[in-house]
Amino acid sequence: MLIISGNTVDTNTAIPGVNNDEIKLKIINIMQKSSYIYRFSTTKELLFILDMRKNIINASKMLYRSRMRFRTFKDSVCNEHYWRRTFEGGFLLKRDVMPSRAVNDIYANGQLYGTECATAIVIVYYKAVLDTFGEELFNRLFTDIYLMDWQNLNGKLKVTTDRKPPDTFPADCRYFKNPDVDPLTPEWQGENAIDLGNGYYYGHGVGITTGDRIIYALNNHRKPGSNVSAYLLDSSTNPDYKSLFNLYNSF
Amino acid sequence: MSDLFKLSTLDMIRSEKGSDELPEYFRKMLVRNPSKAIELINEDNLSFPSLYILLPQIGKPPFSRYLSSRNRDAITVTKAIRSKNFSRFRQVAVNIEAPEILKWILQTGKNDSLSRGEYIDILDSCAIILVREYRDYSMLPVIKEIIYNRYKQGLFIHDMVWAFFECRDPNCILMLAESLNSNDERDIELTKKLLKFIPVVKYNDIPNDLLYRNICYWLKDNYPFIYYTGESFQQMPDPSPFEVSLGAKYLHKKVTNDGKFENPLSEAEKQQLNIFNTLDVNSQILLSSYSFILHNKNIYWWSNWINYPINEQLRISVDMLGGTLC
Repeated sequence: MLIISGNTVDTNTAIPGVNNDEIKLKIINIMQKSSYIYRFSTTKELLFILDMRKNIINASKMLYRSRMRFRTFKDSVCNEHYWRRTFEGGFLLKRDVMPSRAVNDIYANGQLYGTECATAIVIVYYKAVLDTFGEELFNRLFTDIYLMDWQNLNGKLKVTTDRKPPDTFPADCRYFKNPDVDPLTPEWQGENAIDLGNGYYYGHGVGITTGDRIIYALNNHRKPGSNVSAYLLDSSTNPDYKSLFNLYNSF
Repeated sequence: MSDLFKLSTLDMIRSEKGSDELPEYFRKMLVRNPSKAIELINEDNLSFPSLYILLPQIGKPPFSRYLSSRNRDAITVTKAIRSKNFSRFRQVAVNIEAPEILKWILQTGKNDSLSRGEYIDILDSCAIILVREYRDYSMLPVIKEIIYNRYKQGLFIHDMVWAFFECRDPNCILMLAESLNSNDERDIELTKKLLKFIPVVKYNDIPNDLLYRNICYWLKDNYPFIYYTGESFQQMPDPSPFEVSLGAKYLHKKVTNDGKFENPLSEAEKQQLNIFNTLDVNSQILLSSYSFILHNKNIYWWSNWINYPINEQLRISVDMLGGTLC
C-alpha cells in the first residue's frame, strides 16, 4: 500500500512528476500492490526517492561503460590526481579537490581505476547522489569521501541492509552469495549487484547480466568438487533515502 | 638445538639492515660461501618473511635441492597459493604436512606486512585454508593478533576477519571482546567495530570493563541460540556474523552453528513457531526475551505460558517487561 500525506494512492491515481517513466511506474506499482505500507510525508519525498533510484540505475550503467577494472583491494588503482590510494586499498578524496570532479573522473577515466564490487556500488551511490543533489550542494555536503567497500562511508551517506525486505525494487543492491568459494579467491565469496529493473543486474566484475549468469560466474570460482551453488539472498541494501531527502530538502 | 625464540641469523640481518638489504646480503653469501648460505637458510628458527623475501634466489634448482623439508614445503605451499587455484593446493597438500606449514607461516609471519600486497595475500590465504578447509582453530589467537596489528597500520583486514569468524564458534566473540581491556585505543575501537552486531555494544558511553562484562553475559545467556550467518564486510555495511535465533530462544531449543534446531521439533512446537514467525521483529524480541527469563525462573510457569494463545503471551510479556504491543 502506498500512502502519501496520509492518503492512500491507488493504481488509478496518477502521480505528478512520474510521467511515463517505466522504472518509476514499476516502483510505484510494487508499493501499491504490497501488503506492506509505504508511507511518504509528501509527494516531493516520493519523487525524490524515485529520482534517486533512477539515478542509481543510470549510474550503474555508466560505471559499466566506464571500463573501470576489477581489482582486489591489495591491487587496487586510482587516479592519484583526485584520489590517494591508502595502504588498505581504498581511495581517499584528496584535499582541495572538488568532490564532484573526483567522482565524475571515475566515470570519465574508468580505465585508470580498479577496485572490487562493493566499492563499485558505493561509487554508484555517490554518483547518484551527485546527479540528484546537483554539483553545488554535493560539493558542499560531501567533502570527505573514502571509497573502501561499505566501510568508512561519509556520515551523510547512510547505507543500510534489510535482511528480509517485504518487497524488492529496481535499484536495490542485492547480494549473490557463493558459500563454497575457492578459499584462494575470497573476492568471489559473493557479488553485490544493482537490480536494474529489467531482469538484469549490474555487478562490477561480472558486468550487466542476468541473475543466472552471475550465479554461473560465481560457481566457476568454487572449490573443486563442490556442488553447492551460489544463490541470491533475500536481503537488499540501499542508501537511507529518507535521511538523504531530509538533507536535500533542508537546503 | 637452536633456541626457536631467538631470531635466526637472516632474521637478525633483516631486522638490522632492513628487508630490502637481505637479498643482497644473501646473494653475496651465496657467492662467497654457498655452504654457509645453505646453513643460514635452513636454520630452525628462520621466519617465513625472510624465506619469502629470498624466494627468487632459493626457490628453483639447484639451490632448492639443499633446502630443509620445512622450507621446501613452505615454498610449495606459497607457489600453490599463488596459483589462485585450490585444486593445485590440494594436489600438493597430499604429500606434505600442509596444516603445520600453514601454521608456521602464520606464526612466524604475523608481525610483518612487508608492505607487499602478495605477502598479505599469502597470510590471508593460509588463515582461510586453515580455518575453513582444515577446521583447525588453533591459530585463531594469531589470526586475531594479525587483524589488530594490521588495523593499527591501516592495512587490509577484511579477508583475515572473514577467516576468523569462519570458525563459526560464538566463543570467538569473547576472544575479540578481551581487547576492550587493552590500553591501546585503537584495539578498543576495532573491537567495537567488529562486535557492533551485539546489542549491548551499541551503547558507547559505558566503561569498557562494564561493556566487556555485558558481552560475556549476553554470550552466556544466548549461547544455545546463537548461529553463524556468514555475513562479512564485503556483503553489507553492518555485517552480523552471529545472530540469535529468536524462534529458538522463544521455544528454548538449542540450535547448531548453522541455525538448525539440534533436535527435531514436535508438531505443536512447529505450529507455535509458525505463529511466532508471523509477528513483527519487536514482538519476537519481546516474546523470546520473556520466554528466556521465565524459563530460567520457573520451568513450570513457563510450560503454562508457552501454551497460552500468542496474544495472551504478548500481553503477559508486556505486563512483565514493559513496552507496548505493535
